Amino acid sequence: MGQEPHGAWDKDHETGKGHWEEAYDSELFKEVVKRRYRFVVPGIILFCFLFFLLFTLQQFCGELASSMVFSNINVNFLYTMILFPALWIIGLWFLRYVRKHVYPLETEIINTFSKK
Amino acid sequence: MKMENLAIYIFLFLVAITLVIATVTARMMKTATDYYAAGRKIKGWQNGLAIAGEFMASAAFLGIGGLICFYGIDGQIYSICWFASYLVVLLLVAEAIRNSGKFTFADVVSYRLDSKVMRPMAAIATLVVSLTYLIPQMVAAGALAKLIFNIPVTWGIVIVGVLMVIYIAFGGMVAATWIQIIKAILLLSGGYILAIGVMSFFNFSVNDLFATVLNTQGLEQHLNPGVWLKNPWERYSLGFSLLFGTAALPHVLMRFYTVPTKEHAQSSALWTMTFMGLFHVLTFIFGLGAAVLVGVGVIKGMDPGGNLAVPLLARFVGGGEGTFGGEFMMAFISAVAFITIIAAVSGLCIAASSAFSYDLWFNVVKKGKQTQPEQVRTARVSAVAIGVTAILLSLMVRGQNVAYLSGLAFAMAATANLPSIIFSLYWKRLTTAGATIGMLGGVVVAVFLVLAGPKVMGKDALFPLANPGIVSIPIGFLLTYLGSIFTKDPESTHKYTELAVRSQSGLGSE
Repeated sequence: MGQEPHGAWDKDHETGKGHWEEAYDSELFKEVVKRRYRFVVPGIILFCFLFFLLFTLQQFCGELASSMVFSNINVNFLYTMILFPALWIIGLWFLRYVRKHVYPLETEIINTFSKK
Repeated sequence: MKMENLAIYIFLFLVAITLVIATVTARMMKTATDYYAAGRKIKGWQNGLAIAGEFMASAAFLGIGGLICFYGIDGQIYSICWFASYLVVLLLVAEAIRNSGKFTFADVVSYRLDSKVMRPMAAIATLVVSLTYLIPQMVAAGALAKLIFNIPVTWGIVIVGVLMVIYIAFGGMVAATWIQIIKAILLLSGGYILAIGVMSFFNFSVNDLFATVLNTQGLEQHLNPGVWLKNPWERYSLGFSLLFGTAALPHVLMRFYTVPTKEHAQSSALWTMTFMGLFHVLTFIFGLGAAVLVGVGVIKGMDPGGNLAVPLLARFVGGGEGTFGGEFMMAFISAVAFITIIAAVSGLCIAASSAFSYDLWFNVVKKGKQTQPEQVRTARVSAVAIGVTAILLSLMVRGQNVAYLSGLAFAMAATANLPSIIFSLYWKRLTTAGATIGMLGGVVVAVFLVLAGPKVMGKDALFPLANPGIVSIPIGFLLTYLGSIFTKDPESTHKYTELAVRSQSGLGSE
């Protein structure tokens, strides 16, 4: 059970084998998980909400979707086009967030447990 | 000069460039890492451009343009959802996959589960998904070759297949990546030149374009949703399949192993969003521009499938039929569109051949006992075998409408692979039995729902949705969940700690 892939990847894997549980139970790792979920969970919920709103607007609120915001630009088109930069900004925000709040802890975990 | 001849010359020039890349990269193929993961030397932005290239294929360039031209703004659902799917990839899988695998997603699912069961199953799933996705692309390439170059469908399929085999057998992932990068740059440049040309007819004002659409007979409803997607659930189902299915496509996941670090993996997902966004914000200009400037009737008369909408628009923008500018633009756009198919099938070919040579042959049959040159040789032989199989299968079904196969591939990946990947990475209670039930059950459910749906059965469909994702993906998760809570797998639970630490911190990753 649980046989692993072979090659160099295994060697690395085996090097730290005795310390996985220790790393998993460490406060450092718990903090990494907590910090990551602090962004990912609301991020995914917001993502699903934004698209649920788009599909509902298009399918069940046809009149609202077709109403003009300015000149010939309607709500449906404007909302869809806003999603492009909005989602990209969330992506950039996530990248900056993990670099600032998660990667330093991950590096600490690697330094602490790969030495053992 | 005839458009067909001009398109052939431009196409041959582009092919010559890609063959040079394949020849140069062939010399670099010394180890399995070179072949499967481009030596992990691809930079974040390069990988982002290559992944974006996978989703700026002919389906995006020609297909979405045609869809918007015929049915209006509903066709934009593909653009926004494919673009957005990379936020899911960025948030949930990019770093975790890079940290916990080596070459394929089978590495991840077999890490904590019984690899004797999971690796062959994941490999077969990859083979089936990749071939199912590959065949409609090759058949479409044949049809497109007939339309653009005026050559028989059979020759179109054979040319695409042979070039795909040459690129992958010689150049492996390096060639697949660089060809995809070149194609993406060409497509982005061509797309922007075309969009600027189209907008010049409307004073560079979206408002003026829309005003013309609204004032053109037959296009009055083109800006309103609901012209194409009439079944309410179809929109949700298609949308959520596209949004979450990408995170389970083997040829996409494989690309995250080509970068040196987890940081590069994450940045490549954001770069993918950047390049895809730059391209997909233009698709409405192509579609509506073609509808207004060329005319829906003219396009339908030449190609009822709508694939010629963008090339015909290019000819109009370049100066019209018979002018050098018009014929050149159409030839350039057509040749670029054709090269995009070759690049896309090359990516699928390397995913399928890796599943066979690395997952099945190296890990299962040879139990990890092959030298580096032997591994590269096996990978090359399997690329040839996959290519020949794909050519033969495509030739067998070339007369049939196989467009539903793309949807089937997406549905199978999202239903069978996604639960195993997500649960492997984030759920301690996952068991080998649960993952097995989820993967097998997911494939059966996805195949049944697509075959029983309107794309295959038409009006007599037993299942009302052409895209079954909204039903099949939750069933896949449910089967995996139920299979896991009713079985025990202490080894998997124990090894979850290793996978969790590795995937979420990078400890021990290559």
